[in-house]
This record gives sequence, C-alpha cells and structure tokens, in this order.
Amino acid sequence: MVFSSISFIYYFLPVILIIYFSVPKPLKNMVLLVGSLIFYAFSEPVYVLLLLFSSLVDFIHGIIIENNRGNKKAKRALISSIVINIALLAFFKYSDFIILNINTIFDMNIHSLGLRLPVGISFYTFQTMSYTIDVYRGQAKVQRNLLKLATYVSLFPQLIAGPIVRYRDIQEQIDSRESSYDLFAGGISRFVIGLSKKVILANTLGELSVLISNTGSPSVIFYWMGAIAFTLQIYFDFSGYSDMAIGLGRMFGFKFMENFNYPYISKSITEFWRRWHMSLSSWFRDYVYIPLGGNRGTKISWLRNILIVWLLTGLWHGASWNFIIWGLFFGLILVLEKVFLLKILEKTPGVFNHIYVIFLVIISFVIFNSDNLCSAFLNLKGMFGFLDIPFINRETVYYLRSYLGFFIVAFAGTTPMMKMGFDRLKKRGTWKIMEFIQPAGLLTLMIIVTGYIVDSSFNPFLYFRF
Amino acid sequence: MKNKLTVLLFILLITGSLLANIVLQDSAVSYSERRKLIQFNDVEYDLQFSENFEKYALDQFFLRDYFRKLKGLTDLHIFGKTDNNGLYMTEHNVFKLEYPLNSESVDGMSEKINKIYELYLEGHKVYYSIIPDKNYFIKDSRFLTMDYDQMFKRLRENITGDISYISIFDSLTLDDYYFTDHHWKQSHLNKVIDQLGQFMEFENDFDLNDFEEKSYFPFYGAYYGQASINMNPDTLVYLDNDDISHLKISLVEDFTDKVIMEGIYDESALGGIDSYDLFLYGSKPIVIIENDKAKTDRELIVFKDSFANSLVPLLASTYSRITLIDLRLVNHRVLDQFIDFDNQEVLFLYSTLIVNHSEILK
Repeated sequence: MVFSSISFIYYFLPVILIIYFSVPKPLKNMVLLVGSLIFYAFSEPVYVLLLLFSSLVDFIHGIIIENNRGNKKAKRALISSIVINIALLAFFKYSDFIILNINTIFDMNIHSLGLRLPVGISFYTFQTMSYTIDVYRGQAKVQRNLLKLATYVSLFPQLIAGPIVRYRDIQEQIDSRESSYDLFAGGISRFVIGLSKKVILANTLGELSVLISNTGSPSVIFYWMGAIAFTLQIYFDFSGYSDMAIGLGRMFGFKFMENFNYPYISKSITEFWRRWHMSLSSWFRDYVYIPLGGNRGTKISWLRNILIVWLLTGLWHGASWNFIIWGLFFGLILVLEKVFLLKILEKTPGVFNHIYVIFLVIISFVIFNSDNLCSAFLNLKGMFGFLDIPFINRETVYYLRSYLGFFIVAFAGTTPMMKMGFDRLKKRGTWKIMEFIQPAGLLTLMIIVTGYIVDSSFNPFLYFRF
Repeated sequence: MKNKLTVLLFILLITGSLLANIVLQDSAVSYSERRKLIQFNDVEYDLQFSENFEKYALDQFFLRDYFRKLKGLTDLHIFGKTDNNGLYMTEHNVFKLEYPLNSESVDGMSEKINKIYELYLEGHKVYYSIIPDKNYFIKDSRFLTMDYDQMFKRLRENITGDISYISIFDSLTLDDYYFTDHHWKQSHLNKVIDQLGQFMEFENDFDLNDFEEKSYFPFYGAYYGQASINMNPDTLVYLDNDDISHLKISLVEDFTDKVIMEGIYDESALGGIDSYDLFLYGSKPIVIIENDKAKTDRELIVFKDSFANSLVPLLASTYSRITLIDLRLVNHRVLDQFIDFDNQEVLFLYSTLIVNHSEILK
C-alpha cells in the first residue's frame, strides 16, 4: 500500500485514525503496531514475517549489548546484529546482482534466485542497525519492551520510503507523545502538500519522462526535456513521500527529521547532499564515514573513505551498476569540490553555481534512470547531439507546450518561493484571511489530488470498438 | 480556529468518502470509459490482493466520473495542458491524439491483406479503401498528426495482389464526423458511396430524401467520457425506410449458428455503453445482409471495422448479399469454414486508426 493510493487515503487512514484516537493511551502503541503490520502485510503478506524477524533480532541484540556493556560480548552482539541485518539486505536485494556479475566474470551459469525485493527493506534494516549501534555507543537507551521496538521498526508512516528515522530521535515519543489540533493540522497540511507533489507533479512529469524515453521521434531538446522531467519527478516523488511521512507522523504525535531542504537551490554538490535525502546522508556520515576515520588521517585514507561511502550510497539505491556509477560520480565530484572546486565556486557568481549544480544533478539522474550503462550512454549522447537526430522537432514542441505549466509549477516548487510568499502574508497582517483560506485550500487540493488518483485508473476500452 | 477547521474538513472528507464507498452500491459499468468496472467479488485474495483491491477501489470510487472531470479541467485550464488523456478539444471538434505513424503496424496491415488475398481472393475483384480519422482534418499545426502520406505510400508499396485503392479522403470533411465520437455520420456518406460506386461500378442511388431520419439524443460518443471535459453530447442520426427495414440480417456470432435479426438497427443499444452499436448490432465477427430486392445479384464481402456498420446497409440496394467480416473477432485463417469465397467482390474498408494499430487484427 502506498500513501498515494485510494486504499490508503480513503480506507486505511480513516479507520486507523478513528481507532487510534478512540483507544486509551496505553493501547495506542498496540494500535499503531497492528495497524502498521496490516499496512505492510497488505503489500507484503509473506515478508511481514521478515519485518518482525528483523525487529526481534535487534531487540535481542540490544538487550545483550546493554547487559554486557563494556565487555567483548557487547561488541560481538553488535557485530552479529550488523551481520544479520546486512545479510538480510544482501540476500534479498543484491543476490541476483552478485550472481549476474559472477556469471559474467567467471563465465558461469549460476541460476538467479529471482527474489522479490521486500518493500522498505533498505529503510528498515538501516533503522534497526542504527538502533543497535546507538545502544552500543550509549546514544540510545535499550528498549526492553518488544512491542515498543516493533512499533518503532514497523511504524507505517516511515516504513516504506523513509525518512530513515533513528530510534534515538523518537525513543521518548514511543514512550509518551502528545496529540493536539495544532500538531494534527500541521500533519494534514504536510501530508496534503506531499501528496500533491507526488500525485500531480511527480506522476505527470513521470508520464512525460516515460513518453519521451519511448518516443520514435527523438530530438536533442526532447532528450533534455526527458532528463529535466525525471530530475523534477524524482525530487517531487521522493520529497513528496517524505512530506507525507512527516505529516502522518505528526498526526500520530511523532516528530520525524526533515529529509529534503530545497536541494535544487544548492550552489555546490556538497551543499546539494546536505539538502537531499538528509536522513540517508547523515546515516552514512554517522555510521560509515566517521567510523572509517572521516577526514582524519592521510589524504589517501580520506579519499578512500569518501569513495567507500559513495559506492555504498549508490548501491543502497539499487542493485545495478548504474547506481554504483551514480554514487561514485557524486563521490568524485565531492572529492574535487573538497580539494579545489569549492574555493573556485565561492568566488563565482551564484547563478553559475546553480547552473553547475543543476547540470551535474541532471546528468547524474540520467545515469540513475537508465536501465543499464549502455542506455545511460545513449541518452547522454542524445542530449549532447552525438546521435543523428534533429535539434528540435514537432513532437518536442507539442509536449513542451503541453507540459509547460507543470514545468513552471515544478520549477517554482523546487525553491522556497511559495513558503516565502506565505511568510510575507503573515508579516503583512493578512494572515487572518488564511484562517479560512488555508483549510479550504487544503481541502480543494485534496479533492483535486483525488481526481488525479481516480483518473490514473482511466482505462478506456477503445481500440476494440473502432 | 484554522487548525480545528483543517482537522474537521480533512476528517469529514476521508471518513465521508469511506462511508460513501462502503454504503453506495457498486456500479457495473463505466459508460464514459465503455468498460465493465471491477466488482468487490472480483477481488481475489491472493498475493496480489493489495493491487486487486486498489483497482477495485479506483473503479468504484464514489462520484468517479466527477473526480475524473475535475482532473481533466485542472490539467487543461490550470496547467494549460494541450490534451487530457490524449484527447483535446478545438472549437470545431474533439480529437484523440493518434501519433506517431506506426510503420510496423501499417506494414502489418498490408501483410494481413496480402495473406487474405493469397488464401481466398485470387480472381476476385478486390478493392481497399482507408477512412481518415478526424485528426486528418486538423489544420492547426500545433497539434500532432501522423504522416498520412507516408501511411498510403507504405500501403501502396506493400499491398501486392491485384487490389485497387479507392481514395475517399476528398469525399469527407470534419463535419461528417460526430463531435464527441470518432465515427462518421451515416447521413453524410453520399460522397463516399459515390466514390465507391465509381470504382466498384455501381450506380449511386443514395438520396437522403428517400429516408426517414431517425435520431437519438443524447449520444455520448467515445470521446465524451474519455475527455472528461465539458461538452455537449451529439444527436445520433440513422436512416430508415421500407427498403432498409426489408433487409435480412444474420449474425454468425458463435461460429456455429446463424442468428437472424429483425432489422439492421439495434435500438436497444441506444443509451447503452456505445450507442453506435445501433448499427448492425455493434462489433460482430461475421454479419450477412441479404436483400432480395437488390438491383443486381452481385455479392460483396467487406473486411471492416465499426465505421462500415453504418455505411454498408446503404450499399444493399446494389448487392443482394453483403458479408461483413470483423478481423478483430475472427481469425483470417478460419474464414473458409464460414464463408464460401466464390467470385464475390471484396472491399477492405478500415479506418486509419485500425491501420495504425493493425496488431489487433487476427
């Protein structure tokens, strides 16, 4: 079940909200746990056992670590927990990729396992790992109540697409949290905005991106349009999901960390990664980069650390070489920025810095979005005029005109312009009008979004009837 | 105040919709999309349950058509999109984007005609004619239309048998088509019959004054519901007189028995999923029209799509027997089990929409 589905918005959500706010406080975690398991089982009726297993493993390891604090058994328990978590992730996510590469390199014929990737496994294994590591480091209290830990791991708002919420950030909220109209309304606002970003902008731009990649009449501008459309799509898709997760969390009294902060306004790639998928980059920083030594030690070891982190970041996104290349691409640019580029960028006018960032990000997402490296290379050749195609054609003009409105709104949405507009209204004292406009606006947006979701099932039976 | 109102409206919307979806009875069909809707009993309890349930929930969402219309209006009027689900409206008509030309499909069409010719039609007088879709008449270069010249060029180059091409493109204008549908109007086919008559050597005795113009309103054409935008429905006009009523119609539906029908018009289709099914009972694999009052004993076989259903009855004054074959519903390899190919005249009459999607022909 995804948040942008009718099943979630108009079946699951009202039911769980009614039950959650009807039961007394001591039962609220139980409602959330059962609700989250139903939410997960709806999509993954078998793998829900894996989710429970993962929770149990880290629950037990956490207690062992706490009970043996200061001795070797604690470290062994930590290593055991990390190995089990990574093994689960590797088995379900990377086994076929590993087999494919072994077959290619050693000319073997090992059969692939063909396992379906459990939804959200990359997110919840990172969360459970952060729990045991933080317990080991003394940064989080051990949880001796399995129900509470399982509630944290399976918490449906952040289960399938993040943000990667760390246990230490919400441990107190798991034990006790308050609900209020303000928090709930803030959650609704965030949820509806995220849903609109996903359904109206990301899905429409995604439709254009697919249409362009399947076109029989490509042009140089069409390739660029496709690349820009995907760059916007992935931002609104992912940040929209994060907004929905944060909003849902607030409805139930949780305060999750922010995951995106207008990354496309960055002036360097270093800044971009401070604003993009912040929960993942901070996870890798705290649990991989710094333990590896960070920027301490020699330049060689520092370089190695960066490349390891970005190799893993790429691999985390998917079991394919284009994701690894995508990660290393960013790793390389970050190294170059740290060595000399940042100094140059500081002296360069802001507009050029933006162009530099957007250009590299677009290129990176062409690699990210391609089925394989050959197709990535082909797309890049198309964008830079190395294919025998026109610069622009009728089809390009048609779709550019047709989707221009979406592009304009999307471009504006990647900047804090709208937020600044609201803030200005507040300062001018016209905010009182917003007392009514904001609730009505959110309701209107919600109804329009529902129209988009319902229309996604548009499936005319037409060819047969010509 | 603001926050309480936000919470109240949101909760009312989601719980109200939940109740409406549970309480309201499921609809059996979507007239706007012309298809059956998924029923709750169709949802299977297997590993794909979530996808199955979502499809059901989408199909049966209350006020579904209004929500779809809202999406269409937002796309067109707020975001300025040129089309909604590939449909767009100008002041003159409603169109469905049919782009680009699918060369493989055009070649597939030629191949299909060649195969049928080789199997059954050598020695017959064989013709083919292509009906332009509405996009052909768009003069506005902002809209994408397929390369019709290239389509004909490929057809002419690849159709190899002794088959004559009859061009009817100049015999039609946009006014000859319904506003909300892709089909042509039966009462506007005089010039088309004239053109066919010139090539197929029959006298065109079509005179609109000889017919009673029956009409049905509102006719919601195929594009009406798909476009999900505000437009007026059409009036469907069909022609009737004693000669038309006299025609004997047989449907070969299940490939075993012939079912003899009363009249060429199925008036029970009016107001149904597709009112254009009025003509010759909609899409049927094989339909035979017999006229013992025909001016000649000539026989005609028409390989066709639904456009022909409104045209062919008007040819029955010339032909004593017309067999219509819909290759979307019957495989061309088994035709000789139902039809005795015996020197009849043969016409392949397909719209450009089918030529561009010939993969649906069997």
